[in-house]
Amino acid sequence: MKTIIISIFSFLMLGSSLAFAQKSMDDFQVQVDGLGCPFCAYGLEKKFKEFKGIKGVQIDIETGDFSFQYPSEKSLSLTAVVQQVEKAGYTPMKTVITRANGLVETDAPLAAVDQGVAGVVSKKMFVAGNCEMCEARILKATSRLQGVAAAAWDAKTKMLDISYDAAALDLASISKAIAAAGHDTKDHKASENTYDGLPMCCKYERIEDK
Amino acid sequence: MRQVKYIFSIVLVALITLVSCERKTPATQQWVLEDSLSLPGINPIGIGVFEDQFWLSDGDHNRLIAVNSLGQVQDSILGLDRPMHIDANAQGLWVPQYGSDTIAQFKLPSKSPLPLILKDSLDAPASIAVFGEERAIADFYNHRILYFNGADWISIGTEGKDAGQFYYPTDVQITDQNIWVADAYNNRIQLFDKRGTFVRMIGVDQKMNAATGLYVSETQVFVTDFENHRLLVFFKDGQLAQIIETGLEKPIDAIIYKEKLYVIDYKKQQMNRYYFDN
Repeated sequence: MKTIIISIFSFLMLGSSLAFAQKSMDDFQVQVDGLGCPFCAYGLEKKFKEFKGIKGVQIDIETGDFSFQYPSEKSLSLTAVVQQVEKAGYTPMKTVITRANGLVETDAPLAAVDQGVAGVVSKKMFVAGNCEMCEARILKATSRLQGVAAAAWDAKTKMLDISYDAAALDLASISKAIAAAGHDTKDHKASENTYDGLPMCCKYERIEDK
Repeated sequence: MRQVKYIFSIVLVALITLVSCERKTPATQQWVLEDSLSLPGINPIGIGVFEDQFWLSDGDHNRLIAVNSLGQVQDSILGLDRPMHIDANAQGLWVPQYGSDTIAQFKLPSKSPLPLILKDSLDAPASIAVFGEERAIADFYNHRILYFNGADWISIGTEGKDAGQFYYPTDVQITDQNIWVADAYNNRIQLFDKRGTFVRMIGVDQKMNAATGLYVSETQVFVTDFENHRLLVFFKDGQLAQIIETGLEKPIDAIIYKEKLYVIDYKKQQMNRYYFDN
């Protein structure tokens, strides 16, 4: 009986210490622009191995989703993660850190206004692009604009659905911001330099000049 | 004047004859899909043949897997660190380990790695090529090729888009006269002589999207166009011979063995076999 009680106690202690160990890791989720093949994915992983203690590295080549865990006592900052992705040769689109204590940190811009607020209009716009990385880039460009409430882009139809505060923003400004990020619209074209800088998988067919 | 015209005609006929004789393989001859060998659980990146077995590097699972011509697993080498484009010769298998910046040689059946000692440091070696005593390494993050001519190592290329420069080279092969490089994110093949001098580039007009893998036969150059789901076949002078799309999703390397073309597909987890239809 004594042995059984000791075994159960030991098991519970082990379980609680494992749970503590798991909780002492921060979770990192980064959407990365520019991953296309295993060479890129392993390259990103390789650069992050420089962070001693990194665990559970997962990379989805198709979507550019990159996640890992890191000991919370080391307080790895969002800035350090962003800089390391850039050092590996890629562009971080969005970073979310869920700390072991439940706090969430992110560099994703928050929507300026909510749906349903007076003055918010919904429009559609053609935006050239190819893939999930294009989608992330287009949405990042729109989310940075003051007044955008919601945006969604469909890689198949190339249509952007966008809701924004018409008092703060107009469609031409949105179109310009998207073109500045590298994606042609019917009214604004990305510069050659910006287009050339896109990852190869994002090199869409350019919209012909009118 | 008539004499000049006569000479001109002779020269013209001679030129036409020369051009028509240069191409040994008529355009009607094509590679045709024979079958697809399923490789469940294996995400192949590189392929080499050693003693009638196909050795595949499986980077996702840090291992090499040997399969026979039916795709059946025969052997494995585990515990590697992101093995990429491998090569094989009579001395065994040569394996670039992308994650640990090392090149390992396996003198099969021994599975103890013998490191290739280099004075220079690598940053993510993506490919190793062996040819007699010669060696070449595609040094991915350093945007260069390291080439050993049997006596000395030389470094070929720098980061860039100009002729002779690289943007993330992923594969390399040595032939009698040349060094061939899959210049992956410049979307082209580059050809050098063995002093490291640029000779020419191939495939620049084909809108490739990541030229990840390369194989050079006696007459043709095979390039995997990873994101465009196809294999491009060129003659050695750079002229496009064929585009193979059948059965391919994310092709990543190719090899010819016993007159059959084998193309491995990273995403579909399979090896396609093609025959040459005369």
